[in-house]
Amino acid sequence: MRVLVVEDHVALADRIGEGLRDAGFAVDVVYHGEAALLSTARTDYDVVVLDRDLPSVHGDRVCRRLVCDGSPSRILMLTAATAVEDRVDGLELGADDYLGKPFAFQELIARIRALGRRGPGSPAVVRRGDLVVDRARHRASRAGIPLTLTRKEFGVLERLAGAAGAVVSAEELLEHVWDAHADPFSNTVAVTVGRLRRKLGDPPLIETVVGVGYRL
Amino acid sequence: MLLYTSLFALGGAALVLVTYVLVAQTLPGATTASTPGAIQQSIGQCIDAAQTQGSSASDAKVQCSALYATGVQAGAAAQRSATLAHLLTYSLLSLAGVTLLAAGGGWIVAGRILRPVHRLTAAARTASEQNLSHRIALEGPHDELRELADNFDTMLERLDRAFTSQRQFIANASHELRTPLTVMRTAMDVVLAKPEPTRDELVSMADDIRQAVDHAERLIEVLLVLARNDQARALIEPLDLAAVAEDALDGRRADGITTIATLDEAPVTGDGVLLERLVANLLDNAERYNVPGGTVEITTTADDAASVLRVINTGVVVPTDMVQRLFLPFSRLDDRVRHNGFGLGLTLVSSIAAAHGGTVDATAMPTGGLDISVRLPRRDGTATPTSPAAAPAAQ
Repeated sequence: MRVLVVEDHVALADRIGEGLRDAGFAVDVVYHGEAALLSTARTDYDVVVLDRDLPSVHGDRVCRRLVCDGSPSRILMLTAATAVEDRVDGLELGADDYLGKPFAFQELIARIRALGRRGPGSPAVVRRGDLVVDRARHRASRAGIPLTLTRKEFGVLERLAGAAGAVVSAEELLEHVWDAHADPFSNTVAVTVGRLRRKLGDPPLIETVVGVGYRL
Repeated sequence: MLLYTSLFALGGAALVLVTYVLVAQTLPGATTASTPGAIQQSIGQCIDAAQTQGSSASDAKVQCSALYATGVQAGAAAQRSATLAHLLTYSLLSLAGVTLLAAGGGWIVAGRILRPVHRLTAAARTASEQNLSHRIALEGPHDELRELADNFDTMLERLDRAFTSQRQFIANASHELRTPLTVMRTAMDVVLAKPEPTRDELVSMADDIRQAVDHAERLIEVLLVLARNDQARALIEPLDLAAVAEDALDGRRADGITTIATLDEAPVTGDGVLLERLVANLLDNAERYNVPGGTVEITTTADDAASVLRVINTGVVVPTDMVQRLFLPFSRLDDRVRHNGFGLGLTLVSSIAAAHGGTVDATAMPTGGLDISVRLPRRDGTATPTSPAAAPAAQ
């Protein structure tokens, strides 16, 4: 899942990014509202973790812009303003969730995962034959045997399973599973898909549609 | 109401009594009490005398005139008692009527007069139950009650403002304290959640936490100074603002910014530590919001009434409407430097100046930067020190 963290406190922002990467998300971190608008215009993030009190462009305006532009990103507001009015305000601006500071990091992770699952056709647990992908717990198993997957492998599998049989392009995988530092011209997606195929075992589940992408 | 009616009735009764006594004394007194029998006899004698005219004509004349006098006297006496009786009856009747009218009218008028008082009472009750937004807004003539209600409204407004700003301050303070807490908590949560945190990761976590603790500590210190400032303090040290400024400038070195100090004698009375803090905060601000290669000018002067400290700095152009907001807690000129300061610097300056009975004026320089002057009451030989308790009352 691709997450954008927008937080003006640099040390805190980097720490949140680190924690989310540890939890298996592909994370980009920006430190002010203007950069957030630039990043969201370039990439369709699954979840945007948005601090409200942002310099240059206020978090509320970033939120408004994303909602008005019909961005598919889910917005999680993360702010120190935790009074009931503030929470109501934030949600009414179009945020999908609201978490007050200070927060337990586990809760942030759980909420981001919950937001990523939202929307039609993306249930928490996806089954394809004997393959089970549990997106809430970040686990996968085939024929009852748990699979040990790296974060990127799980990300690719989750994306393919979520596509419900449609073809997923390598670019889409790169956009949602890797962060902004990934080199778009490398064969990193192909390599990861290859490793995933080996781990999933026989009979093969992932099909390559030449020139288009992959299908589960 | 009952009291008013009884007083009115008593007063009326006294008036009736006085009138009665005065009238009774003014009317001719009934000195000869001639009975009707005696009058009848006299009339008979008079008729006899008139019939036996002639020799005793003069005698009869005398008798008749005596009779006439007696008649007049008797008539006067009868009239007097009748008048007095009437006077008493009508007076008492009117008194009863007027008393009733007064009671009724008083009831209505008292209700009208007391209505604003009832509203005052109700407003005071509402206000004491923590809702200071209610106003009486009494209409009608500008009388004493209207004045009282207006004063009450003004008082409520001031209380409301004070409470609101205090609530706002507490909300802001807790908001600001959340930031270091979040940094600490996140650093620990993230690093300790790693299966095998490396030494470097643990050190960076500790580093984050130490910085957050430092931040929280400084913030709490400033908040405490602000809170303490509101309480009474013995501001009795005889000081010279020039010396205070020199102490504050001592050991201060801002990279790329030239400080020009013109320090003339500026005698004041106050607290040395607080005033040094005031100067230091002004200098901090002047340096923080400056431009590379800019200047900070600090001058101290004294005129007849006040000792003035003035700090002028170069910097970015400050919008005029921003200037007054700078003195509000937790407002910052530039969001990008928010984590270097708390946004409490100028709040502290104006709080310290107010505690010394002084004022702070800020003007945005058209070429950029700020011109801030602090006026404190001048100390001279006979001046009594301004106590913080007296300061707000004098305003």
